[in-house]
Amino acid sequence: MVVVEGVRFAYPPLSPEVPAPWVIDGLELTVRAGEWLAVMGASDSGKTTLCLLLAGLAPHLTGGEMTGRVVIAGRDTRHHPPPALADTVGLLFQEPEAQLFNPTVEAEVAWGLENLGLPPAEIRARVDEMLALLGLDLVRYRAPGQLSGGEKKRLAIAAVLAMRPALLVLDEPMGGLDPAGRAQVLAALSDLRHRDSATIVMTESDPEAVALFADRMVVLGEGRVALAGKPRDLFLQLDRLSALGVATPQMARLATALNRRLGTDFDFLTVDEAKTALGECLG
Amino acid sequence: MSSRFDFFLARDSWLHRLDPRVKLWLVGLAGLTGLIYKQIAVLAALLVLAHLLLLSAQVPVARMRWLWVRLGPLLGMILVLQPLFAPGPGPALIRLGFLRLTVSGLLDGVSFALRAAALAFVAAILFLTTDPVRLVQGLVRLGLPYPWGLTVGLAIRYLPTTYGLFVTISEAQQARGWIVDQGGLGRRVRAYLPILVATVIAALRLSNNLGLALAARGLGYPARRTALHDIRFTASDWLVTALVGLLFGAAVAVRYGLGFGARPW
Repeated sequence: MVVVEGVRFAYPPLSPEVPAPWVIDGLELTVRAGEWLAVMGASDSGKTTLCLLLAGLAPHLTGGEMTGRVVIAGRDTRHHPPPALADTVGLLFQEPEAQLFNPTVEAEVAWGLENLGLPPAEIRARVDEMLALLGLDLVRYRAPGQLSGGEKKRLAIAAVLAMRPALLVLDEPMGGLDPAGRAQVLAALSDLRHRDSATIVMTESDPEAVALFADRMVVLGEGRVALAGKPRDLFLQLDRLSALGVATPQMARLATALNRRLGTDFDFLTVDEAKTALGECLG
Repeated sequence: MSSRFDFFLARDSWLHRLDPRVKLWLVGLAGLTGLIYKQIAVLAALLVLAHLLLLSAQVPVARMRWLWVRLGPLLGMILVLQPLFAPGPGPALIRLGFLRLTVSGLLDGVSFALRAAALAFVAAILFLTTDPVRLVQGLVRLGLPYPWGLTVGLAIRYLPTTYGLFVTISEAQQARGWIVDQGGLGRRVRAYLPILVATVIAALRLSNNLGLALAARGLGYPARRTALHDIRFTASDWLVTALVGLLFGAAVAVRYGLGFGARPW
C-alpha cells in the first residue's frame, strides 16, 4: 500500500544563502495493505512531515526539495497532485481547527464527499453514519467553532473517515481528547479498519494507544527510521526509546522493572494484560 | 477560534430561506439604489428598510448595534471631513483659515454618511442571513467556477476569524502588561504594531494550513462536484426577484425620469 524509498525532504530555506536542513533524511518505509502502523519519535523527528509526504502535500503545496519517491497504492505522489489522491489518502491534521471551515458540523463532513462527486443520498448516508459513530449527531447543525476541543477533533476525524480512504494518515489523532473521546475515536478507527480493510499510519505520542491498536511501530530519529518492530518488542526496550525521546506505556515500564529485579519475562503493555500476567504468576 | 466572530447567524426566517441568488440580486439592486440617490430622505429610508429586513430575519438588535459601533469611526470621519474639504457652493457658516463650512457641505456629509451606513446594512442582510455554503452554491450557479466561489465564501468566513485573532492576540498582550490605550495617537499606533504583526503571522499560518486541508480533502478532485443540499428556486424566490426588480425599476425611473434625488435635500 505504501512504499517510501530513499526519501529526503527539506522545506524551502528561510534565506537563499542558508540551505534548509533535511527534515526527512533517507527514509525507507513499507506499509502493507490493512496494516496499522504507529509512527513515534521526539518533536522535530519528522512525523508531521512524513504525513504531508504520504498525502502528497509535500512538496506539491509546501514547496521544498525532495529526492526519492513515495508510492501510495501504486501511485507515485510526485506525479499525482494531492486532490487526485484524496479518494485514496485521508489526512487528519494535528490541529483540527485547520481543517474545519464549514458553517455546520454536517456541512463539514459532507464537504469532502461533495468534492468526490458522490450522489447526495450516499453523502447523507455517510454523514449520518460518521456523526453517529463519533458521537456528534446531537451537534449536527452547530457551527464547528462552537464545539469543544475534543468535539472538534472528532469532527475532523469524521470528515476524513467519511471519505473512506484506503490509506488513513492520522497526525496525533488522540491529542486533546478526553478518555471518552479517545475511546470513541479508537473504536471508530478499529471499526473502519475491519470493515473497509483500511491501512492506517498514525503518528502518536500516547504509547498506550499504540500498544493497544498498532500492528507495528516505527520510531523516527533524525528524519529516518531508527527503530522498527512490533510495539510489544519495542516498548520493552526502555533505554533505546528513552534515548529517542519516546514515551513508553506505564505497564511496559512495570514489566521491565519486574523482569530486572525478579528475573521474570513479563511482556505486558496494558493494565488488562498486566492483571492477567500477574494473576497467573501469583496463582 | 471562537464562533463569536462569525458573520452568519443561523435562524429560520423567510430571508434565511430565500435563495442566495435572490439575496445577491436584492443586495446588489439595493446597493445601486443607495449609489444613485443623494437624497437624505431616500438614503434614510433605505437604511430603515435594511434594519426592518434584518429584524424580520430575527437578527438581534445587539448585532445591529455591534455593526453601528464598528461603523461609528468611519461615519464620524465622513461627517467631519466631507463638509470641511468639499464645502460646495453657498455662503460660509464658519471660516477656519482656508477651511469653510457651508450648509450644502454639511448636507453632503450627512448624505454620504447615510449612504455608507445604508450600504453596510444592506450588505449585512446578505452576510448575516446566508449560510456561506449556500452563498458559494449561489455564486457557482451564477457561473463562477467553484474554487472562485469558495474563495469568496472563505474570505467572508475568515474575515471575522482574522478580526477574532486580532482581538485574542490584543487581549493576550494586554493581559501580559502591554499598554495600547494610553498616550497620544502616535504612541497608540506604535503600540498596536506588534499586535498587527502577530495577527498577520497567525493569519498567514492559518491560510497556509487551510490550503493544505482543502487540497487534502479533494478540492480540485477530477469529478463533477455534487451537493448534499442543493439550492432550488421556489415560487417565493421568483416573487421576491420580481418585486425587487420592480422597486429598483421604479427607483431608477424616479431618479432619472423625474430627476428626483440628485441633491441631498
